[in-house]
Amino acid sequence: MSEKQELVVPEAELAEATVKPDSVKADLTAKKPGIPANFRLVHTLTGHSRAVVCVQFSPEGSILASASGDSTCKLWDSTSGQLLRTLEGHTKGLSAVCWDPDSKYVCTASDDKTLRIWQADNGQLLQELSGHTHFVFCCAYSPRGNLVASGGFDEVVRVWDPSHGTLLRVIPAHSDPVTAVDFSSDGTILVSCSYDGLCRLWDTENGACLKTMTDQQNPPVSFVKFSPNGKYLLTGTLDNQLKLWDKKAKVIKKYSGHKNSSHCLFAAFMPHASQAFVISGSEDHRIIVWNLNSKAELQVIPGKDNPETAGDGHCAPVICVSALKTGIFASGALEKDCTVKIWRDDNLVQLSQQAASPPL
Amino acid sequence: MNRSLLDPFQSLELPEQIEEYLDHGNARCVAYNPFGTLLAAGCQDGKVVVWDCATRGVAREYEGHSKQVTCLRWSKSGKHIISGGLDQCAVRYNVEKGAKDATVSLDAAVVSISVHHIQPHVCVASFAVGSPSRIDFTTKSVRAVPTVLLDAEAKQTKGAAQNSLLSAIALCDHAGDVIYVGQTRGTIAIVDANSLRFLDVIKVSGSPRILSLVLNSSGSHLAAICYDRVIRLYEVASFSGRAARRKSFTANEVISKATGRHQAPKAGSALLGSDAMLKLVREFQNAVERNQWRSVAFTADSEHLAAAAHSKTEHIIYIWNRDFGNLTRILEGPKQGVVDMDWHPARNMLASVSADGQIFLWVRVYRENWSAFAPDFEQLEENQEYVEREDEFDVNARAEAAPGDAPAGEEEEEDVDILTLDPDLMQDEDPDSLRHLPVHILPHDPPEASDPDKDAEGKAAAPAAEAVNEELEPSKSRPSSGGPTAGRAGRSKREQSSRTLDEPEALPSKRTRQ
Repeated sequence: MSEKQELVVPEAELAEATVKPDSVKADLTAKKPGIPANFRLVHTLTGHSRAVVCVQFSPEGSILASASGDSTCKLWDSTSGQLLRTLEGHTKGLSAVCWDPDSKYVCTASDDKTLRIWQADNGQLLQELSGHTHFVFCCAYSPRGNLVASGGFDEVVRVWDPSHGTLLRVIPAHSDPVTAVDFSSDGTILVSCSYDGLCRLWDTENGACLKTMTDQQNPPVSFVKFSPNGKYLLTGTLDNQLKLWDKKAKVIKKYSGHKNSSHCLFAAFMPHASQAFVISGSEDHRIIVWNLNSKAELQVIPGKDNPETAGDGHCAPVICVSALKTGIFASGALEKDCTVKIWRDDNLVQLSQQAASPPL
Repeated sequence: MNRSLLDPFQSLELPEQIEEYLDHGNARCVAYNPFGTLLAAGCQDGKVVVWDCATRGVAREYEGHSKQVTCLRWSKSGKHIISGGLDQCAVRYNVEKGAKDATVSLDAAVVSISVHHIQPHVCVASFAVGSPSRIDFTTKSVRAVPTVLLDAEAKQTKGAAQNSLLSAIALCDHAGDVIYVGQTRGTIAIVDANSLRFLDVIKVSGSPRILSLVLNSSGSHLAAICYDRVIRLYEVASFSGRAARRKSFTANEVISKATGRHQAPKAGSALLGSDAMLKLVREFQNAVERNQWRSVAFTADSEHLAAAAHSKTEHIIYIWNRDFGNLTRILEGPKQGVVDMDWHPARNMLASVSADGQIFLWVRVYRENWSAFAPDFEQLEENQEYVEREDEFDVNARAEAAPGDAPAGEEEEEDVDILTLDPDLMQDEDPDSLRHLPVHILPHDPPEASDPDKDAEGKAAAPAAEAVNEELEPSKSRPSSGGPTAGRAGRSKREQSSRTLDEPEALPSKRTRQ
């Protein structure tokens, strides 16, 4: 087994991790910042030989998929951290991975200009979606599992039928590389964002542009994601900010404190029963957990400079995170680190378990 | 969810042109599921094909009949499809499991079928010859739906022989308590769905044979294609609980009551007079060509009525406004007659089956809403003279306005809820209905790329393509990356860096920004 597991976190570091939220709390006296989070490292998953560029939990939560620049995608057991299988076949590095809503299939987007659909339980390659004329940079499964949207450096958004491998629609969406796509929870809206500083909503049915959202400053948009109910959009821009928009193109919340000026970082919502979090990595190797509503930094997981340094954090820019609503999230980091780490807040996990099975 | 962003007027418009041809098997009849997400088509060879409306691809195929499928309908929950065929069978399919779960043998080829809205195991099948049957799939029992003859000549020769030659078209209503029976001799009988006794009999003027009956989505209007080339639109009176409270009659009672009256009306209720359960609202016909009608459908909002002309060589669908009766649109397709059609239950979209077995999807032509492409774009009805503001090109004024960042400054401090769905979307989660089929992806053929040997082969075979690609990408390559001859490691390093933006050559527009 190539991967190692790190289960125990020294007490001293735990204490260190909780110091920061308290200080933030003091700053925001007027508002309730939320209960401090206490995510601790559970597993460090090693095996990728190049940067980990995307991590995604399967919708039911038992498997974690990680895509890497080493042109493979690895599936891990999200509880034990064991490597289940490696999806090999792409000829160039991957940029994104996404799951179908039934957690049966994995779609990977690669610089070899194709997307591939894999069966998660046996690693079989099922479909190859080719048509992009440049690197495929992002992909998203529709909530019904019958569509896959992708965007890439050819500046268009493509919509595919994954079961037949056919290209259904080509949307000339942007004037710069498309950095992220996502479907709303009912599948009727597709959102795309691009380095051109725009974020556009499309009608899934006919490919019509419904709305364009942009900021005054027009910074390149590196990430976009619908909230779980599809009412809001979380965007990441290369001016070190995450913003929450409503569909009237109004910014409702801004999250800052992380560093994001050159990479396309993935952010994640963690809609835990007790409070909702926004989680993002940072280019200075840290991971930041905000309260969705108060925007307070509830926890900052420190990074480190090189792999030998003590500490749980990543030693490279943390480019991707993926969260489960039960209080677990995963993060992946770029070259020099190349690991996936799974973090868990025992308190939150316990709370969600209680909520799931009420005491007799 | 996209409702709030759609142009309310554009989305109401009627279809204009064929967007897609669905060609798989030889379709004979179509039906949308109640949510408009799937489209079922019955084929010449006895198969039922289910299409996914989002991908326009085949989602499932079911085997059920040994001969042509003539008609099919979905149950209200979308979990079952019931079809009738020329093989004298009615078959029920479990949509999710992908197999037929019950077959009932009948005495004649089925021409139309209607599924009970409340009890999905019950349906009513109509035949080319003979009276319709009420079929219960759980008990496999078949009961004849009664028909009745009112006119004098039929009364003289009434008897089993005469009766069996009659045909009638039966349709279940949405409340599930009555069955409408359109009969040969120009009457529409309303029958209690449980006791199968008559509640009312409506005479159609001129006594034309009733060819087809269709209800709109709310069940408030009934359209009947009559043999005299007229489509008659009836309003269904008194909505709830009508069957239970009404007085019901047997066939003989109906005849004696109808003929016993002094002057039997030429049209309208034979039993209840002015208290009829169906009231004629409007008649639609093509007054010029006087063509016969093949199929009729209400639009999703029930504002319009669409009818396909019965023709071998012309694919013509007329659409009238329901309330005003004016012809609003004529859809003309390829030179193949319409065999069947169905209107999408939620959107203004129409599926019609042509005589050669293709399904046409009619939609409106989408007009790009340019104002959606930028927040400061506005669509103007006509040209406007632009009057510049006094300070529009005033450098100082602009400089002050720009960094203000006014809308961002008004950041709301309200709490947001990212989990709760809008109420209209909640019903989507209804566990008792099946809206979507789980997607199964089957490996079609062994893709070469999974095989390392073949992969290498493919690369050798297409070195030119590779070179072209490399040529196309120089703007992407960074000084650190090798040329095309660089090893895999060198290349993938460059590739992997595509998650970063520090590539000024690649993105000339970025340079100004950074």
